[in-house]
Amino acid sequence: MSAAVSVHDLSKTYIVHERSSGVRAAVRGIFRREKKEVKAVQAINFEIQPGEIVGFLGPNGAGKTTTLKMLSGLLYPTGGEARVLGHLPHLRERQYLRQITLVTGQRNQLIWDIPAADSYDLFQAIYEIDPALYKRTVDEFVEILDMKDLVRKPVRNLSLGERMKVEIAGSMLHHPRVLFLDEPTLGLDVPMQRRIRKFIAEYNQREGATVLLSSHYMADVEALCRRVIVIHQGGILFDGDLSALAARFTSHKKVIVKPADQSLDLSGYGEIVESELGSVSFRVPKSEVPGMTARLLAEVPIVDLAVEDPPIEDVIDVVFAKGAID
Amino acid sequence: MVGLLVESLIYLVVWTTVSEARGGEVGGFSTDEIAGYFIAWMFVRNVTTGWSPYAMEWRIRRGDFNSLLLRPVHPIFADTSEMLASKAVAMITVVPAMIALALVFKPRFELVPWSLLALIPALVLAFVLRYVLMYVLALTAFWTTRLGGLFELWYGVEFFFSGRVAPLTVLPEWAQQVANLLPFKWMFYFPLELLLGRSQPDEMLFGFAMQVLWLTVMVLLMRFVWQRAARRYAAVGG
Amino acid sequence: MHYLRLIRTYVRLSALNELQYRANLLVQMFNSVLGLGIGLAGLALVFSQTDSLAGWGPLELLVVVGVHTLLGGVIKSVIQPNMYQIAEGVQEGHLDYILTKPEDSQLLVSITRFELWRLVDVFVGLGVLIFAVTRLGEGIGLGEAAAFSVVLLCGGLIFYSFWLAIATTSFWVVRTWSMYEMFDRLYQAGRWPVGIYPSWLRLGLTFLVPVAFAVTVPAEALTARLTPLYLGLALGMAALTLVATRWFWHVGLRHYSGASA
Repeated sequence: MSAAVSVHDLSKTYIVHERSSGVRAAVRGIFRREKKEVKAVQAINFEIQPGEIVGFLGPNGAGKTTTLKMLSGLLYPTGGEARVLGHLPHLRERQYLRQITLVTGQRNQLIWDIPAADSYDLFQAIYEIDPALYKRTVDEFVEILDMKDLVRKPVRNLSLGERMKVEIAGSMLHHPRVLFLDEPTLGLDVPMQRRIRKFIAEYNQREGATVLLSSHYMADVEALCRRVIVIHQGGILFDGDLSALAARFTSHKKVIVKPADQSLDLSGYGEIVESELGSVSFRVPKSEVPGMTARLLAEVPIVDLAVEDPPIEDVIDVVFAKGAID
Repeated sequence: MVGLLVESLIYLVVWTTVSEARGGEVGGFSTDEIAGYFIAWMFVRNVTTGWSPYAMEWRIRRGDFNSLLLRPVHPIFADTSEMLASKAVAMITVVPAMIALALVFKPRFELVPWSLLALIPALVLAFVLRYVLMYVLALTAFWTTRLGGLFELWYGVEFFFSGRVAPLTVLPEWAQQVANLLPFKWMFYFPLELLLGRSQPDEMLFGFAMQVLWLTVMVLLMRFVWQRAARRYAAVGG
Repeated sequence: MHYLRLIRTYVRLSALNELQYRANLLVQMFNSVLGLGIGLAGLALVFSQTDSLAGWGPLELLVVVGVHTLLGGVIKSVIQPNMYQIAEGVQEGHLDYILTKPEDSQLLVSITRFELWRLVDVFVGLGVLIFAVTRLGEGIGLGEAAAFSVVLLCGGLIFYSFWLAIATTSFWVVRTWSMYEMFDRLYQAGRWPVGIYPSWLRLGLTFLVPVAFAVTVPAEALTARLTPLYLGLALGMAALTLVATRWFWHVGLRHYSGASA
């Protein structure tokens, strides 16, 4: 089975016109502008099989959005090659564009003043979706996402969460085989985030679509992706299972204790990282966890005790701080 | 601003053509003088126009409403420095354009010293008069959202009765009489005539009197409308 | 055909949307009548002083006003709203959604919006035209009507191309608004036949070119002034500007997509 996405030595370099401050520099800037090369993406390689949901993680400016844009055909690569479904994205072949979709959390594509249902008709016309299939798909999505009333209202009258629902549904009416999602749950409340994630997950299972998800919300990534690609400063820092990420980069676990007597000083048992609302959190080296918890339980009256992996955010922070995999 | 240049150019060409067709004169202006009229037009138009009613309305709405209610009058001249600056910048384009057009169309006008001296207060009064009138118009925003129609109507009337489309002497008699009764002539045509040196001293004095009269009327009207608007605002709520 | 279906869908949606705002129709009718009134008053003023303006008589100038109003309605309903949106789309990034659709981007950005009520001007202009032409005495035959339709269409296409070219500059320049405003004002020059301008000025002022072809030439078709030369020029200009603008649009797209020069 050939890969859905195949990226080989892909690079994107921007030329940015720089100007240092001051009047002299400003005047000089009129005649000669200083150029600086910004290597947004540097020779990255990866392959994604059909049906995978891959999360792209990385700080702002790492190159995630640039990579997604190159894969969806919005940006021309400066070097290397990317192939999605066998096509070169930047050629923007109609056959290719019919099979993909782009969803950006911050920007809407549905027409503001009219009901979503009307925009959907537009999409049917653009993608040339078979009328019977189109009707079935709309009914299905409306059912799953509970949008019956929403699609009849002008989009501007919807709340942010409702808008995202109709947007995502609209962007998938043509049954794309590859989904490029850039911060799809941005600004949504938790229940809505879960709704959207569920929708994506089900679509992926039902249709075997490949999903590339870029998100700041670890919850998105944890819920949907088994595989993550960590991008940092234009390069790939890690490409593998999410669980392996935690295991690989941390040697500690988090132990959360609720003592019966909240005034007790527990600092002797380990490194306390948080202490509030009667809960004390320790950062404990993995190997010491059994021993430390045993001592605690024996010596201190405890209401509750839990052992957790450090939150992925912390893991990511560590990853970026470290800067490289060795 | 380009609109200003284009509009004066259009009418310059139209009326010089008409003048030529008539054998060299229209409305008491020879062909050269008509050219001079529309070149000077650019200058006077730039100086006497402020914000459009739309911009005015936006500014009023943007302002701090509570202070509007407390003070007797909106700090109407607060943004004046900004506007004056933009006028100065616009002049940088207008003046060369005037010179270029002068080289091409060879206008004729007279530079009369006392007339030019009188021009300065005339321009200032014209500006203020128009500003206040625009302000009153913009205040109607408190009563209706459909301002577009009202403004367009106002522009239409001004177009003819201020001397913008053609010198007032070209208009039929009855229209010229009407123009004397309306404020528009004193916002544009009056200073323009002073610049061209076409006014007699008694006409100049009469012009100033009319400017002052209309300004008084407008300020009173503004006060009146203002109070109503503030009251309505308080009633309708924030 | 697929394109027609697409255009029909967009038009239907925009129209359905606009139909909600019936008050806008009244406002538009008011503005149209007012605009016509001002135009006619201006004409009356000119013809109170002379019988002909650069060889054009009053009824003939009325034809010019009619064409100007008609085309103005087309521009304001179909062309301008889309062009304004292009600049916005480029700067806010909405263009990305257009570019990931399997459809020609120039087509999509050109048909998204349609302001139905502005069509009132088309009817007003048409009314004026019919009035003036019937009174011109000679009447117009099928040939002239055909020629008129052709050059009017060419004029519309030329205007569209110029507007799109201006919109395309938004890929490089942020302040497209002032250019839009400028081009909008320049359309006022079309109320008078371009022939009144001295010939050197006519050629020198490029803005007069689209206006000339869009308004004066069609008016000439209806007033027995159209020469085969100008008919040919109109067709040629339309083809040329369409091709040039499409090329320019793609240059802009390439720039937007960060293609190396």
